[in-house]
Amino acid sequence: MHVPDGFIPLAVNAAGYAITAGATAIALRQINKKEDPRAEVPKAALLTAAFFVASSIPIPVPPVTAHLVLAGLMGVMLGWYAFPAILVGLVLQFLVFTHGGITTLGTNACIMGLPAIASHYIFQMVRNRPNVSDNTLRIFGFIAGSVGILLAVAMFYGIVITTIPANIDAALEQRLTGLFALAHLPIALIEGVFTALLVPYLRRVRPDMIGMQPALAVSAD
Amino acid sequence: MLGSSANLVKKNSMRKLTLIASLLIVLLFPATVAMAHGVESVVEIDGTQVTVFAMYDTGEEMSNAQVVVYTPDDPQNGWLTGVADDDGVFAFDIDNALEGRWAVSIRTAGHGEILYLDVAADGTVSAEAGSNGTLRTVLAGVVVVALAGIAYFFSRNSSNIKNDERVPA
Repeated sequence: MHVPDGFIPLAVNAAGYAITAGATAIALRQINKKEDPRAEVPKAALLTAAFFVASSIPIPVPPVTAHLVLAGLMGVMLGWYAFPAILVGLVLQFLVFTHGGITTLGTNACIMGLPAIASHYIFQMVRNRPNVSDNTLRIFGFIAGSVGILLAVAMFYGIVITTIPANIDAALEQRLTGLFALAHLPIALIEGVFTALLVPYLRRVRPDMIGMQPALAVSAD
Repeated sequence: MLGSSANLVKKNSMRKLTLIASLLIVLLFPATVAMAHGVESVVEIDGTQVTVFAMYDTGEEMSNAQVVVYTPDDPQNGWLTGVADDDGVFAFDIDNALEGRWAVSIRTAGHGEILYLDVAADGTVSAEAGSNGTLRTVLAGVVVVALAGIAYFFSRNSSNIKNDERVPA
């Protein structure tokens, strides 16, 4: 999912940087509105580390290899914090693994960060409902978790196939990119299921980790 | 008062959770660095014969990767294009009369890398050195530990501020 340097036109990268700058500004403003903006730094740092590690693990899905993205989970747990967290993770991945690129940093941040924000708003539909059931949480957790990666794959696919250079075999590149995108369907299922299982558990033990209030006890009457 | 005690318990459990999560990520990390998902091709040079072995840094070959070779004086239009075989191998003869830095783009499904070859004035062809795997591993470890440390530091500081506020006059 990480587009390397030199593979897409500079104009696309410039647009990626512009969108990333805007999204980062919005994210920082949203974070600043919180009562204690620093309170979620530990969670953000840990999830950045998890993103850094998890998106480095190749998962063979023949004939290609895919990797976890965790954008959905990060959106659910961090909200707007997810965008700068993913941006920091991408910078670190490039510096350490030369995974991704510097000219493509903005584009990669859009590919993985914007879906995280989408997942945040999907989960937001149930986050503030007082007595939402575990099953509803599982459904929205699954949707948020899987949409995070599905949107990222869709954006990656769209960007790559619309910027195929003229000097390579476009049909071959389209076919392989399509295979790469399809290979992420099982990954979307894994991330959806994982998020669906995690969210009700966190609501029971640490609802603040997903921005929820503790569930009220149901009356025995 | 009861609310303050509950906050203290919550902060302490947050610190413990942060510490446990940090340790888990740091311990899991070595298994993943060895499998980092990037492209790291190998080039062999024999006179003017250049053989590119396109592969991911797991060692898995990039089958049918598309290769484009660019000359030093024309970095926009490809001098040679082709497709690597099923084992990710692509061989070509470089024109060592063209002195300077050549670029070899290896691409598949939007992923890949650009390798650089230097042709000296005397026609000698050499490839840019690859990255140091050990250094990369160490750097990645430092990053993970640093992030875990940030998490623990901020969870500790947040707890200390709340404790001070509860000190009786």
